[in-house]
Parts: sequence; structure tokens; C-alpha cells
Amino acid sequence: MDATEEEIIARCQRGDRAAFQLLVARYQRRAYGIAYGMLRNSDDAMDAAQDAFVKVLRNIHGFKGESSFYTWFYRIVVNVCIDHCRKHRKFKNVEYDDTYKRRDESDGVAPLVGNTRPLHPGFSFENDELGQVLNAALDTLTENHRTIILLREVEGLSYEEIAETMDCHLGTVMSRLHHARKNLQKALKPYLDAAGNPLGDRAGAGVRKPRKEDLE
Amino acid sequence: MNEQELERLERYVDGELPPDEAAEVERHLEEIPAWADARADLIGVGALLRERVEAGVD
Repeated sequence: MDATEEEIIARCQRGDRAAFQLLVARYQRRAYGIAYGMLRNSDDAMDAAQDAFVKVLRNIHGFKGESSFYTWFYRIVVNVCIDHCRKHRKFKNVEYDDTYKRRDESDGVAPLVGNTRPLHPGFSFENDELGQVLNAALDTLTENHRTIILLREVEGLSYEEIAETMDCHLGTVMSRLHHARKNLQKALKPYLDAAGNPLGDRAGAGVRKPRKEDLE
Repeated sequence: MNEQELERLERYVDGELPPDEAAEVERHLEEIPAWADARADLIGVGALLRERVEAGVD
């Protein structure tokens, strides 16, 4: 029977490196996913995910189980990404507290594996028109707005979990999410409206069909 | 639709509305095309974002 998350965390807190590798295996895809969403570059995302696990290893003794592990973990990933962007001056606004130290290479966390396949050539943020439009739209958002929409749309976190992860009120989550969506929708409107739009084939029944005026 | 209605629709799409309010939104979705269109846009943007990130992860 697989070990429960609580058991794995308890073993990690006792210094069990094998248990830590189990934790990495369980969360590396999610760490990379949120980092890729925030940084939109596969190499940067790999580095950020790696950094996040180093910080988890260093700080896991301080995890008391007062929040769920994954919201605690997401917070670390988000802070690492913000730290990365500060360093590279990628975001226009910086509002986050960074409470974690920089990576110490001597921590010796094994490189992440299994998520390093190249992006599909037509599906990355960089390599096609729609990806570039989305990329540019994400660039107009602040870190907080970008993070919130990724935690909701990509990670599927509830408002309460997002509030816990980002240490803010539920009302703040709702207003930031609304703002982020509004901005993305504005940028993507031509793609949402156009006949034969790229979303139509992939997004399922929730995407509206082209209106008559779109086709004229 | 005004901003308040849009925010309520978002909470519905996100599964964050209590049942009585969700039922009211469902009525609007059936009866008012603007609500259905707004929902489609919300879902479309989310799907696109998810697709891009997941493609990068895979």
C-alpha cells in the first residue's frame, strides 16, 4: 500500500531522503506546471521547480500541518518564481514577501526528471500566434493576478485554498481573479469570437459558437 | 451584464456559489444569451491557459 502524504512528510521531517524523493515524485509535475505557467519558459521552470524542492527540504521541519501540505508547497513554488522574476526583472510589479533564502547547492536535491520533454512545437507560449498573444496578455498582469489565475485555472484550487496559499482574503481572491480574467478575455477576444476559432475545437461545449455577425 | 453579475457567474463556473444562488445563475444561463456567451468566454480562456501550460509540462 502506498504511504500516505502525512507519513511521507513525517519521514521527511525525520531526515529520510528516500521519503523526500517520494514527495518530489508526487509533486514535481505540479511544481513544474505552476512554474511554467508563471515563467513560460521550460528551462526557467525546471530551475524554479528544483529551487522549490530545495526550499521544501530545508523548511519541512517547520511544516506543522496547520495548512494542507500542497498550499504550503504552492506558496514556496510561487515565491521561488517571483524571486526568479525579480532577479531577471521579468514582471512589472513586485508585491510579494519572499521569506525564503536562496538555494544552497550543497542541499543536493536530485535533478527533476520526467518533465523535460521538449514542448510541442505548435503549442508553447512562444511558438505560435495565439501563444504569443496569451503570453503578452499574461505580461500585462501583476504577479498576484497571474498567480491567482494559474492557481485557479491550471491547478484547480478553490478560492479558500488560493487565499491560504497567497495569504490573502477570499474577497481579494475573487476580485483579483475577476481582474485577471477580464484582462485575458480582452486580449483574447478576437480568438474567442472568430469563426473557426482555435478554442472551438479544443475547449469543449463551453465555448460559444461563432455568432452570425462574426461570420459576415 | 454588469460587473456584479459577471463576478457571480465566475463564482458559479468555479463551483463557489451556494446551491440557491447557483440555481438562479442556471436560470439566467438558460434564458439570457449574454450569460451563456459570458460563460463560454470564461471557460474558453481557462481552457486555453490550461492547455498551454499542460502542453509545456508534457
